[in-house]
Amino acid sequence: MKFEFLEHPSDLLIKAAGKTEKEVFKGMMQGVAAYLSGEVETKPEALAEEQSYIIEIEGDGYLNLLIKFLNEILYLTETERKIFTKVDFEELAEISLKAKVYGYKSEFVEQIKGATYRSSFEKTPKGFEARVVFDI
Amino acid sequence: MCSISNMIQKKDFKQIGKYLYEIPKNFRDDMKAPARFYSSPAFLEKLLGERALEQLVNTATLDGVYKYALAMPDIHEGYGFPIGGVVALDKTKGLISPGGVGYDINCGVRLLKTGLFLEEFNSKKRELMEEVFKTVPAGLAGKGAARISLEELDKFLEWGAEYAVEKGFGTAKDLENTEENGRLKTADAGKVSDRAKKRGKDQLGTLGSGNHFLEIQRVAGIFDKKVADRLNIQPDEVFVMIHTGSRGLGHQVATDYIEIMRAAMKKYNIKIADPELVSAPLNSKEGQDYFKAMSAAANFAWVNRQVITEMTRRAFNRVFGIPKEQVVLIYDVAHNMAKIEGNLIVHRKGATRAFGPGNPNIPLIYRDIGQPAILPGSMGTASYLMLGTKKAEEETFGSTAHGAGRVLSRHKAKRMVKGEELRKELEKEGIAIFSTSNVGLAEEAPIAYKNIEEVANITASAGIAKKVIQLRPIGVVKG
Repeated sequence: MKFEFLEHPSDLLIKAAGKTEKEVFKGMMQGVAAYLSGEVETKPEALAEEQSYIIEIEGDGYLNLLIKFLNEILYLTETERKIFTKVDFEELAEISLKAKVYGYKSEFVEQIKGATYRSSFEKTPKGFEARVVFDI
Repeated sequence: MCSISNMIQKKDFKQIGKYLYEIPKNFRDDMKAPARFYSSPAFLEKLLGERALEQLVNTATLDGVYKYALAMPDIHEGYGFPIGGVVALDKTKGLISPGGVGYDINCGVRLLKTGLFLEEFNSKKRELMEEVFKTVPAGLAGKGAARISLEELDKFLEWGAEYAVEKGFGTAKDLENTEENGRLKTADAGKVSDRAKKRGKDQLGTLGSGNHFLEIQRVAGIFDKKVADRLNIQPDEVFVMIHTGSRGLGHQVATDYIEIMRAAMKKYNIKIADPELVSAPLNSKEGQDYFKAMSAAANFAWVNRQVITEMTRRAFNRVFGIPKEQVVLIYDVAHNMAKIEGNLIVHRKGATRAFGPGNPNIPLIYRDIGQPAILPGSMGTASYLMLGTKKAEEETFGSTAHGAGRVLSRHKAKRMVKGEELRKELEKEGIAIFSTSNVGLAEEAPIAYKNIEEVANITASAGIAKKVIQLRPIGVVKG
């Protein structure tokens, strides 16, 4: 599993790790999917429908990009009523991201209000690790 | 991640009242005022292991903070400000912070008196609950009763509950008994993004998930008979409590403006103790834009509670044949808001306005007794109708507690409690549960919260609110 739910007194804390930044972004997105659908494991990417949505954002670093990316996903989740499990990155650099995301129609078990800046994105000996607190 | 090495200890504060504690200004160099909090020995033990007090101290570092940063007895860790935080800042020199309002702008609670009594109610309880469950969507699926275009949404955002009443959701009397008459005139729909509008458009008249609920309650205790008589409240009378906010629209306004303020911080060279406290001067463009958008989201929340009220009245009318006007709104209070009050911008983050007798901002019918302040308990536990006091105006910028306050994470609660078993337990106690999810039930289990009686007692003993009646649940609708 590329993500993990950690203990938090009032909100939701997800940790995602990977060899590359892209893996961390994807792991975090799948952590969100797992939480929303009430499943501990991620729903397989195969569930994602063909229709894609383009996310194109700029930021001042990977943490900023990650929070913005997750908030884009949450916006799409609520307005399209889909859970997003698949992503193709066209570009992911320190100040910009362009990606296509894919989701599937689903009922939600849980709700997330927003991804917050009580979060971190760090380089580790094995790659990268992010911890994001979501307001729920 | 934020460090926890600065965890506040007993030696760092002093007791200055029976239930009032103060962390002095010299505790940290960056504090611009002392930090005060209401608590009891029982609550204090738990509080010391949390980050909430450090968050309270952080709010005392904000530019323009007036007198002291405050927290109510239901204080617990939040985003930026602790939940239960009340911070007043000078309106000319001070800051406004989305973290001081929260993601659920104008999350609030209202109390309806039905004039029905337990025995009669119980004869058709299931029928009524089913009707409410059907017409007031809970959880995350389902659209609200108010179907509107994006264009019409702007009217709701700017005119709040006033426009809802015009559209047939409630009466003029409801407006009188709503904080700010259900409309912040500072709202500007143009400052709310299209995304926020799209996210919230179909959600007017919905409860949402988390700790939001619609509860049917009975009067279980009367503390102030004189006031109860005056309001014609008797034992075992049936009440309805509605707890919800601005839904996806408010969440998106918070998300949008946290980004905008991050940029503004550099522009205005604002130094903050914690990145979660992003702020802008109230009088800057960014500060004003947020204030106008937040006001619009607050109006949206009042409309939401107004639409749910109308649906509730219709359900009581259909099932019991009582006229809709028999279901009277006692009061509606906001929990998450920043408001101009006198020369201050008062941030209440999980706190209730509680003005005392004589205050011109409360309706005439309550002016001699004080503003009704509603204290909802967690699911399955008691709630209180209280009144604001003069002392609250002197000590807490006219504020009191907003609820029980969480002690157990949702994650832990889910692990410790099985939703289905909890449902059975509550049903055994005579509380009918209509919920869209067992997971949601487990997360809101009573053990996850502070003892509401203790919260009510602390505020009453500290003199910042007065107990009128205790209500106990007999039916719960939640997501």
